Amino acid sequence: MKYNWNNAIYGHVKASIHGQLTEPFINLCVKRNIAIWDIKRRNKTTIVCSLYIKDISKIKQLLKQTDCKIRFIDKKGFPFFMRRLLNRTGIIVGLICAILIITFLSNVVWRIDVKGADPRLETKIRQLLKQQHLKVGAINFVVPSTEVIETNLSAKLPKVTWIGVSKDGTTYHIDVVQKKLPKKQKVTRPRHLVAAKKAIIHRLFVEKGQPMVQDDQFVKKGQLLVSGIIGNENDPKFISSKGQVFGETWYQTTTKVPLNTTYETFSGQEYTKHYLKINKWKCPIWGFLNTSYKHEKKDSVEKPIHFLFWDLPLSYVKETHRQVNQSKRAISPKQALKEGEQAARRQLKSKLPSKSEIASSTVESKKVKKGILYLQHHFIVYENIAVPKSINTKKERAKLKKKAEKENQNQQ
Amino acid sequence: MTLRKWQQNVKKWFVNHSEMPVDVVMDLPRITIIGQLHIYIENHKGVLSFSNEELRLSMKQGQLLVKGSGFVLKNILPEEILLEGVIKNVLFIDE
Repeated sequence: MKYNWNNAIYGHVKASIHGQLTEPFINLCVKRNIAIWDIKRRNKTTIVCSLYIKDISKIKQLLKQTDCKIRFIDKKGFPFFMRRLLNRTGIIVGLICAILIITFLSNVVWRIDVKGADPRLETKIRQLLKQQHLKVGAINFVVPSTEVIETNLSAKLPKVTWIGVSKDGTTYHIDVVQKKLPKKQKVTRPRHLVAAKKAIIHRLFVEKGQPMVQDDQFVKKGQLLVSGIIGNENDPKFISSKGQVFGETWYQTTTKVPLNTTYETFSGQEYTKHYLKINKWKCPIWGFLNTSYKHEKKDSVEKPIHFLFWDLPLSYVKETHRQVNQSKRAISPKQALKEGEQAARRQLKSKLPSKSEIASSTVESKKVKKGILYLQHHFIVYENIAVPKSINTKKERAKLKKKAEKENQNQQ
Repeated sequence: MTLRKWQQNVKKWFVNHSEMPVDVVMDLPRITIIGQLHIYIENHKGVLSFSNEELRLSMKQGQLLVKGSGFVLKNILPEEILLEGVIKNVLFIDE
């Protein structure tokens, strides 16, 4: 028979009925609509059956009629279960504590997600939220409603097009749509472009200004490349010249390439040790048996342990020891040369501005000393050599005036 | 007596010429046995005797005797009875 939930919920008793007329007693019960079940015969004059508590008062009458006696054997069901439970205060206290803790924890803000904001804006938003008592670990009662937070945030953040705050259980989601303003073009003062270093002009890209040099012309450092003075001498105009001047420049590098190197590879063998760190003392808690390798590298990860919102002076440390194989490698001079050049190129590229290109390289000298190849390279590089130089407009104007006057005098 | 017999005949005829179940029309017991485990009896008229090996029920006509071992009356309602145990015999006893 199926498990009877009715029986589990309502209190019922197991009772033994003693008497000569047990069968008539059963029939009477049935006739009076008294539920009786699980009837077993123990001996000629006794039966065992189950009855609901609510029916017991009615049964007393029937017992009298049939001259039977009742003895209760067992009490079952929810009411009896409750009564027994109440006798064990420990369980009740624990249960109440658990419920309290759960209600407390479910009213705490566990996470705040900020989406769509760049890191700078995100920290600002988090700061503003903190001012409104919304932070990880805050209790929900203190936190204002999402609408209030939304309006406050959008009032304080003019750079934001839209801000949405939503609450999802113990997590707050803040969705941000940032305004994307076009980059402001810098207003620059009138200026020339001059050479940053000596070079041979390779290409000229002039957007504004008067080019003063030609291709393949040698320029010295500080030489005027693009002039910011346009118009005739009587009516000069000063502009901010703009452009790129690619010049051929020269570099010399020295590189060292060891012909014999030792390098390390991981063998794949590893073991881990676990520690509990109390202040500064590390107490091993797992992984005692492993012996260390001859060559190994150690990786340790430390995770602090929190209790609610407080950091404890405890932390868990996991150390992974990996076995390392050391091997030696010898390379041929030819290969060393190649590697040396690559290294030199890399080294040079990291120093040069981004748009530069290395045109060619030649080896100037090479020598081997104590197993190390010393290389000297000569590089030809095309790079932007133009740097701005501001124009003192007053001075220039005066200069031009003088010049014009002189010419006038000469003509006269 | 003749009236009763006549009534009986009418009922029989009715059963034969309609699709009504016999037990409903003629007030007969309906007994369902599942293996030897359960016996389910409807339309009984009370328990006459009950022990671990025997259940005697009164019927409208005569008695029903169930024999076996380890009997437990799982449920008993005015018209139905569910008996559990190992059932060996089901006997109809005429009065």
